[in-house]
Amino acid sequence: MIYVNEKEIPYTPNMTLVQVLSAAGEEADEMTLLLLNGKVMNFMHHAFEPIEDGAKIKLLHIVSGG
Amino acid sequence: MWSKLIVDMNTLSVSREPLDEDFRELGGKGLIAQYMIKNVPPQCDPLGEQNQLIFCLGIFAGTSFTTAHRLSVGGKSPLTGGIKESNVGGYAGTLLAEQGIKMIILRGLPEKEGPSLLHIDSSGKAELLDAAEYKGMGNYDLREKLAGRFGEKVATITIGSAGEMGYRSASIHVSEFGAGHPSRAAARGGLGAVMGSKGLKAIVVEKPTVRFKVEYADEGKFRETCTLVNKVIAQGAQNDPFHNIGTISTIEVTGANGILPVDNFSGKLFPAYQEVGANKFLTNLATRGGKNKLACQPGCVVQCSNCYNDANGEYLTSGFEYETIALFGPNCHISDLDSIARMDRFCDDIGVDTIEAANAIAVAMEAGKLPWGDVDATLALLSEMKEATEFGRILGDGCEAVGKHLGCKRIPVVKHQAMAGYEPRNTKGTGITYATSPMGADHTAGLTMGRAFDDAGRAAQAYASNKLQVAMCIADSMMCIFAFAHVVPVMPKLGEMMDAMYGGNYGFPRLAAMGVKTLLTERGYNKMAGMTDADDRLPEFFYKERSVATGSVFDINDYELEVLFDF
Amino acid sequence: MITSFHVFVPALMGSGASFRTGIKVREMGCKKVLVVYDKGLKAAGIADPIVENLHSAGIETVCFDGVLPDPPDTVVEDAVMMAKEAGIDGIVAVGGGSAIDSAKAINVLINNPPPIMKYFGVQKNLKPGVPMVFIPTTSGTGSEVTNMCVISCTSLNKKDSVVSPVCVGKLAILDPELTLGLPPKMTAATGVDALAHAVESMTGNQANPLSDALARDAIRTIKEWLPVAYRDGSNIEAREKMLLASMFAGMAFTNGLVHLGHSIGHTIGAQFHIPHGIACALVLPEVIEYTAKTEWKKVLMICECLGAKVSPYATPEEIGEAARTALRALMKSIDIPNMKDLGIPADALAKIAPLITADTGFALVPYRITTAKVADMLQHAYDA
Repeated sequence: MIYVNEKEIPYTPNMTLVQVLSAAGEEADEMTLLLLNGKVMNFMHHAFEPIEDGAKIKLLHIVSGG
Repeated sequence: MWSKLIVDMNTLSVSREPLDEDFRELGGKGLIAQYMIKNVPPQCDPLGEQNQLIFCLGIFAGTSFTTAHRLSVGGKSPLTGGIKESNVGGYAGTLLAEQGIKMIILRGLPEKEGPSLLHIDSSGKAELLDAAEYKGMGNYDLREKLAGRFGEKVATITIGSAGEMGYRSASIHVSEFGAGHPSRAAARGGLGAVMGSKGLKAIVVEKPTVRFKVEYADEGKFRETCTLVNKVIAQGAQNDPFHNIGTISTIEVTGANGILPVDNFSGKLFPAYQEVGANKFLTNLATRGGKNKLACQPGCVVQCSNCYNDANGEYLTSGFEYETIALFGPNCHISDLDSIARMDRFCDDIGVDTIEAANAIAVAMEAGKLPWGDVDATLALLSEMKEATEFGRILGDGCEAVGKHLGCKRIPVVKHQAMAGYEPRNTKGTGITYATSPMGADHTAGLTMGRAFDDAGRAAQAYASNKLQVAMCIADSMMCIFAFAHVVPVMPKLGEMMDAMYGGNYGFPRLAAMGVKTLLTERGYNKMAGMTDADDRLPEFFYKERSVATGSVFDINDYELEVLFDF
Repeated sequence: MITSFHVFVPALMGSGASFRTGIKVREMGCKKVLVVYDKGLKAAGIADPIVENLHSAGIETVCFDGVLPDPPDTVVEDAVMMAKEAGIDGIVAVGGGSAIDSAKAINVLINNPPPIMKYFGVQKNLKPGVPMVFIPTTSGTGSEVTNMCVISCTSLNKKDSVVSPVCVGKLAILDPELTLGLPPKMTAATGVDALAHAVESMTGNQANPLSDALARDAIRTIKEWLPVAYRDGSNIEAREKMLLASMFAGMAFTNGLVHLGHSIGHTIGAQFHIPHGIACALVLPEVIEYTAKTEWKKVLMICECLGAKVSPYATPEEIGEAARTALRALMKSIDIPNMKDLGIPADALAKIAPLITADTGFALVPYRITTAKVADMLQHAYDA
């Protein structure tokens, strides 16, 4: 099982990040960061990488600047 | 009924008066603009008798609206020579609201040697006290002394030695809710120098025994709508990187797309940006007992602030933000987060704008005064501001002063104020904001990153900048812009809250009109202060030099900028 | 300046090209397709040959003939239910912009939950749908080559676009024979829509050299052949040229985007129920004149394409005026009415100006123009 913002997505082998987010009905673009098992990542840099079973993903969208 | 405090530094007197009827429905940025156009001559000397320093609360101060207690500080800026509204978080806004004080107006120049401090006690009595013992003190020591004297739970608004010395990059510091560190800064534009010129070292606000009760036109309706809006903001904040990490998270995006300034706005990429990025930050917090998800004012649901410890687990700095990290970091070719934290602490302590100081260092590096990336040399130069050496004084006057003194050709300023952590060639709408905002090169006035088709392209950038500049005038009149970003799905509700508070049935258009009026008033003020179209342009090198990260130049044509504020 | 161009849809062009529909759909691996068109097209005898052509290639069809102008979301959402129940694996749309946009919206909802208005705006991560083939019968919206569809949200009484890779066809088949029966008024109205696409895409902020090249060719072709197609709809050469011009203009604007002309078109169209092409044409000459202040080089190119003579010493204002005159002359030659002719009340103009500046396309104007100036522009065009 993969967790995206608390949604549960059934895991299939070699699922990429894009596929996981699509299955979760979530959007992501160049302004999206994610916490993948607590590590901060830029969505665009990891979009086609495989995600492991049990991964916990929290999507963070930059909405303003500081 | 709200009050204002008129603090006359000539006579060292304080009088409490009812707030003007004209200002009843205004707050924050909007109130500063209307006050200044009526009361502060645009041609005055910013450090002279006729300038005033205004502290004021937002439109929804005194209510349970999240982030309603930002504090706006206004005056004529000694740095830009135009109107300045500098917005800050911290605890003072909350306590001033509880005291029923919507505005504090500081006027005149002291006749005797000071400085003084303004003390507002728990009964609401406000008086000026002698503050000679605090003269020359840094903000941290000052906060400690004032807390020792008046109680840990007071809110303080202070200047460090920089403000006393009249440095044009001097900032005003507000203590954070909770730990009380003097790390929230009304940083931009040198208003700390105005406070220093008026001989005021600190404002101490105690929690009142009798809390001021705000009047509503329809309290029930206000509470209902406010609860809903707070909920929407809180929900939005759950997935906001600022809440989950802090503003440093921005670097994970800007470092990748060329918007992060590198080596004095060279337009390059900085491959090691992740060394000063979110993962490093979170790891350091976790292993050293630091904290994030801190609210700088009670009731904030975004909670973007933090407390950063050094390698020994000792407190180092707080309110450690993207701007400081970007500009003291990759823009100075520095990639050590701890060193940047020390610079942040130092700047907060003497009370200077980290954006201005960091840009000044970068310009000095380009001019060869110190090597790129040299942390020790940077800290040594910063110290010169404290020691008030000849160069230290120039550094205290900011980026343009240093650039001109050292003969640097590439000085990234607009209206004499240094740019923030966003490269204008790669976020052109932000570049348009830098150029045209009455505040000078100010990113909080309208950051367009992610809002047009292509940040490094031309399409829709002027449109985005125009829209955002108006939106930020609204936001800065009532709340924190980070919370405002989450209000967008229910924006009309803000109009309903206005109606419920102040009466009438105008809806959001009242706020939209206020936003436009504020912007045009600010422009009008600047025009009367002597600014022209030439002040609404970026430095030439942005038009001519390509950013090698994207190949972009700033190719927005002048006419687009000229008509940007045609409403 | 750095710009980008995206080629979205491969195209098959020429008289008789629609006879290859069945073979091409089969090559895409489809076995059962939804055929989307309106009742008028069926009555004109255009839909049935396409359906037969698909059958003879061994493809099953499910026909949806409920397409309405300004496709309402409710109609689209009903069509999706039908498509899903039938288990289709491809869509063929025949007709004008409404049929093609309906098909695109149906495709969005095949694998993404309704309502369609949830997806208004630029969507980067929608689940893909099924392959689509578009056969335009007007010249036209150019929708067969764009990545967007315009849908009316009936509950909010407004139109908006979904912009997404899911709105991109697998193939566009341009067969001028299918446009022979287009009546003169529709020929003129759809022809000026294509013209608007071409001139607006050149003068907006997202223009690029490739979209400009396509737009210029489209403008030249429309200038020469639209009046011919209008007067003599049976002229196959004119029909072919117009169909190509419409496609070129579609490729131009899907990259360069449109701005004030279409913002005015959307607003007037919605307020007064004027067909899209006409609505965009009403103030188009004045819009292009306004752009000349900063985009005079492009407007000069537009003048050249329209055969309007401009002095080499002309100022931007003079170039703008020449373009306005030439565009209006072209409109008049194909009897495009003005706002007065259409019965739009003069006192409505000031009221609709704020709606125009609130349209999303307004973000792409070459330089800021106030609501008051837009009202002024409408005034000038009112009985022009």
